[in-house]
Amino acid sequence: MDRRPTLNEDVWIGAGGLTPEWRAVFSARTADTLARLRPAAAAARGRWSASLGYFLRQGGPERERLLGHPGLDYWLFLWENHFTQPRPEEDWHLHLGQFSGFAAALALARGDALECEASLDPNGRFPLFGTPYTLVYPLAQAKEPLHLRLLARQLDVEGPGGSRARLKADALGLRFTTPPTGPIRLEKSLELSGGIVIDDKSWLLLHGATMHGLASLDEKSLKRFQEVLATALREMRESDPEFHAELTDMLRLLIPLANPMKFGSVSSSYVNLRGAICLSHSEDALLQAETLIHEFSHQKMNQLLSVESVLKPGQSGQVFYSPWRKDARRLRGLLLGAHAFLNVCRYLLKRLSLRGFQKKEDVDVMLNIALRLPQIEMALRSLSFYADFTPFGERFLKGLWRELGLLTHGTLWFPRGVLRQAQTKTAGHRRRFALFDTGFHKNSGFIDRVDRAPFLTPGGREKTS
Amino acid sequence: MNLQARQDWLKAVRRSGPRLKLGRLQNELKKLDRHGEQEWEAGLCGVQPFEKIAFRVYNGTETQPPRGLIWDARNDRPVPARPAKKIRRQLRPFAPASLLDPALIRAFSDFIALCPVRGMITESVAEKKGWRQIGWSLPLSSPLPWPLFARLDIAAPFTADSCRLSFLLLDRRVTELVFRDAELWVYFR
Repeated sequence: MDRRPTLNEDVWIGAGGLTPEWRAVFSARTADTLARLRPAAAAARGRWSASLGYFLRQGGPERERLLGHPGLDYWLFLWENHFTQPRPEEDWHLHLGQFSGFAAALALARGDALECEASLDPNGRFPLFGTPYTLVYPLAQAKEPLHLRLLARQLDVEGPGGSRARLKADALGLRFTTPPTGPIRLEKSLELSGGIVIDDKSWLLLHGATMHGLASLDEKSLKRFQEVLATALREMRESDPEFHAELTDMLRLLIPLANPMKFGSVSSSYVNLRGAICLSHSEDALLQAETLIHEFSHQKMNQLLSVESVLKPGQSGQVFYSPWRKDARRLRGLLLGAHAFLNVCRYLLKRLSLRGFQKKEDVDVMLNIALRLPQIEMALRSLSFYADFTPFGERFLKGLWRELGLLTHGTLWFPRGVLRQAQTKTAGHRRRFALFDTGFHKNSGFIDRVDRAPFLTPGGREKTS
Repeated sequence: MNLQARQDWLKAVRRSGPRLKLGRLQNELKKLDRHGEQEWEAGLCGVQPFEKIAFRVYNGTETQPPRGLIWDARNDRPVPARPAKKIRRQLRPFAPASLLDPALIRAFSDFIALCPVRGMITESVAEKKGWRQIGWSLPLSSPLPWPLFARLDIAAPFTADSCRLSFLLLDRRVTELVFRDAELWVYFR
């Protein structure tokens, strides 16, 4: 029996909010995560079996939420990749000890009894994943073991050098009931609404963010990072409550990135860190919203792709022109790009209409939209030319085309100059990097030496490069 | 492709890769041309820098070795043919599971889902101890245009030069994948 949820492409192209289908796809993901955890629990012996065994035995919404945490995604990624080779004993202790951060967070939320071992990370920290709280020890005590005892939302910690701490969780949060013995701090990360944590220190969470440099922000800068993002999310809730609901349901973690070249924005997300978005700071809330929507759209697609392949497998030839890049891409990349930029354009058009189209700076937003639409069209054209889709995928592609058509209507009143400028720029990019009018990428240095038949001019020849 | 199309294509190949030596190829091909016009297929080997080109008569039967040659365009000479031994070709149904390696099974299962094949042709040579397989091939049920072949995982050996090859092959259609001496060849017309 096919247990995959029935899918409505409209929900995945734009947004449908927290529908039963959204929940069903999320549940399919968490069921897969649970299935991947079981072999780890079977392999964990002795001191490490308590936390994994406890976690697997539970059910309920708290565990469901933790199963969707990006940290657990990455923990499993390391388990399935790093630990397939012989590794030093200390790697195992660190990895299994870090898992106790999930188990302890779950026990605290539920008020359960749990006694287990744990490990400080290489920075001397023990995050309670899924909460904004981290226990912080001196760096010299990195990777040292901890012993945890939890009962009725109280956490007792025995750490290196005989240090002890007792903490209690309640409606106000987590705090020490008495001052700890030993140099232990309880750090609380900044959060956004919906429990989205801003984290720039947890080793496990940052380990997988490899594409860009991480930012090291001081307290004031972190606060500003939070404030602008909070504004972006508030405006998103006003403009597109369904998209906002999906984003804040899935997103758990924001990681600040450095932006040394002073681009408008630097951002990334990872298939093994689902629910985490990495992005640089900007004072422009609309730009931050655009970045969040772009990266969340990728995450949403990856969530969809875990239950529905959309493209039939076997089509990963990296030969296609991408209107957003200089190098060749795969069909999947074009699909994700078209989807993400469609959602960005949809949001930007909504914000433009709310702001009344009066402000001068809106011209920049119009130019952004005007640039994206022909880029999306080029990507969809290549997908239509070359790709084989599943039955859902074919409906999905048609829906993307239709959405593009509707957005194009939304630009009818844009100044002609804006549209012309965008068309010139996209045409120039295509001339440089596409193989003429095909969807293929043109290698750098490619020279067309083949003579064509003379056209109009007798005896003439035509060559291009 | 007919003889004229073959000549036009060779012109394009010559221009696309100035270092390719094809001076003596035409004469060699003429030796193989029989009475009247024949239909030819060309083949490219997926080993960079793509300096081996094959030509063959394509309307042979599966059990008859195709007549043709392989040209070494680096050294301007034919690749030496195998010594004349008894060669057996057999067409049988293709089951990816027969490849044993899980990665290969997955890759070829995906391939035939996108691009059905007529079966698998094995080529074996007679030796004292019996038949030894020297190659195998997958003739496609329907020829596949090159641009649609290039997107496939199985076309990975050609990805690095996809731009030049696309320019050469235009919308020519792939008819068979041949695996010989650890090399992948694609034949097209």
